[in-house]
Amino acid sequence: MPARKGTAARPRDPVPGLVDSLLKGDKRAAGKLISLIEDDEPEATEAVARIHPHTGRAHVVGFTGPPGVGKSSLINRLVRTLRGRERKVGVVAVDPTSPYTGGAVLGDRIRMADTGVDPGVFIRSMATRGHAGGLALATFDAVRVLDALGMDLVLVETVGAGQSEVEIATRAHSTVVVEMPMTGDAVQTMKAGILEIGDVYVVNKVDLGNADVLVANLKFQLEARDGWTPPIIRTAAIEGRGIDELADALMRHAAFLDETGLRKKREIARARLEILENAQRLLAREVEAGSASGRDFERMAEDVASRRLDPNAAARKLLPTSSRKSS
Amino acid sequence: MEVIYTGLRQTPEDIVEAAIQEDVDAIGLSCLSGAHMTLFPEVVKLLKKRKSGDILVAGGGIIPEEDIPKLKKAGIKVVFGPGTPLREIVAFFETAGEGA
Repeated sequence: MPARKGTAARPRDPVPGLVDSLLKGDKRAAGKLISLIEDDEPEATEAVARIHPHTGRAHVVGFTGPPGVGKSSLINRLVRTLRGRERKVGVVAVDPTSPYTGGAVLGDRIRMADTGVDPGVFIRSMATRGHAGGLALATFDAVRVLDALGMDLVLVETVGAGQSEVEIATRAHSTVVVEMPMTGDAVQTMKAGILEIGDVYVVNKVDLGNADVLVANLKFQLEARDGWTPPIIRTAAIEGRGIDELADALMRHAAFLDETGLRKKREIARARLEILENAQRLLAREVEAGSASGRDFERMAEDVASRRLDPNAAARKLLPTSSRKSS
Repeated sequence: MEVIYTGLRQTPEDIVEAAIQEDVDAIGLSCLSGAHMTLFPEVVKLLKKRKSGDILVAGGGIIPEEDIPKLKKAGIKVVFGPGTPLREIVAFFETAGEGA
């Protein structure tokens, strides 16, 4: 039962050495670099900058679906199947952080124990640490590290609640939506977002019966997007049923993205998001460092509370001069 | 504190591999089978072999009193016997890295 994040941190290794080792396939360096980025250490920026040029080879697959639907078990089986096809596979599994204690118990690894010491597999657990949306803030930087480590595919397992499905769909090359029978009526599958984001749909736990209804419902509602009709794959992850078909579907989607030029489009869309996010983070930091703790800030808070100033006008006063015009 | 639970009946190789991929500060081993004198030192040995000897190893479970000094000599930092209050274990890990 390995434990992470006590109060006292171990000393960090210098970034250039870690990145060199990472590029040579050193797992220890990969683990350390992910921690460094996850903990938002000052060296994180340098680490990402050095790693970024060495990425872009891995095919990133996001998995979303309600908790308990079998995402971890499905990924475990898929990892084995992909290893059988001689693909190196990275996994980033996200679990929620407790809003009460700030701690987390990360249990996805239990269901992935099969692949344990396989040198072509790297599994990393991450906690959301308060980041809204069911993904950890550093999830996609961890993906970057595993990409640079030389993984052919990186599978990302989301918490499966809230906004994570939309967020994963904007970041992954392929998004897998996992559903299971007997969890609700037809309306559940019509919920906004679910039908628009999947590139591949999985109906897991088909051994429970009643899968036909769910499959029919999905088939009826799913439409082709950009020339791709999302396939619906029936699986029973624990027994390993349907996993080959899932692997095939993912390979077909990867080939489709290449042939149509959509991969490039998705990469650019993701780059846009990442640039904006970084800008927001930098701006937030600047605002906080500059004035959010000072006396002016307190006065402004009083002015807003007593209706002498509105919150938006106050916020604009906090911003660096160059960005004050936006509202 | 984040705890990664890896499940039961893991081999020392599995445990060390997981610890490296997850970049943990500490490993907590529990053993009820009586094989602790073999398995616990094996984890420490494998960690060193993987240049990860800085990861702290703690043990627990059904461990006879007389084995504890031997385990400590083999690199197990601490051994928690049955009935150890949870508070004590948490406190140990919270302060474990200090002054290291």
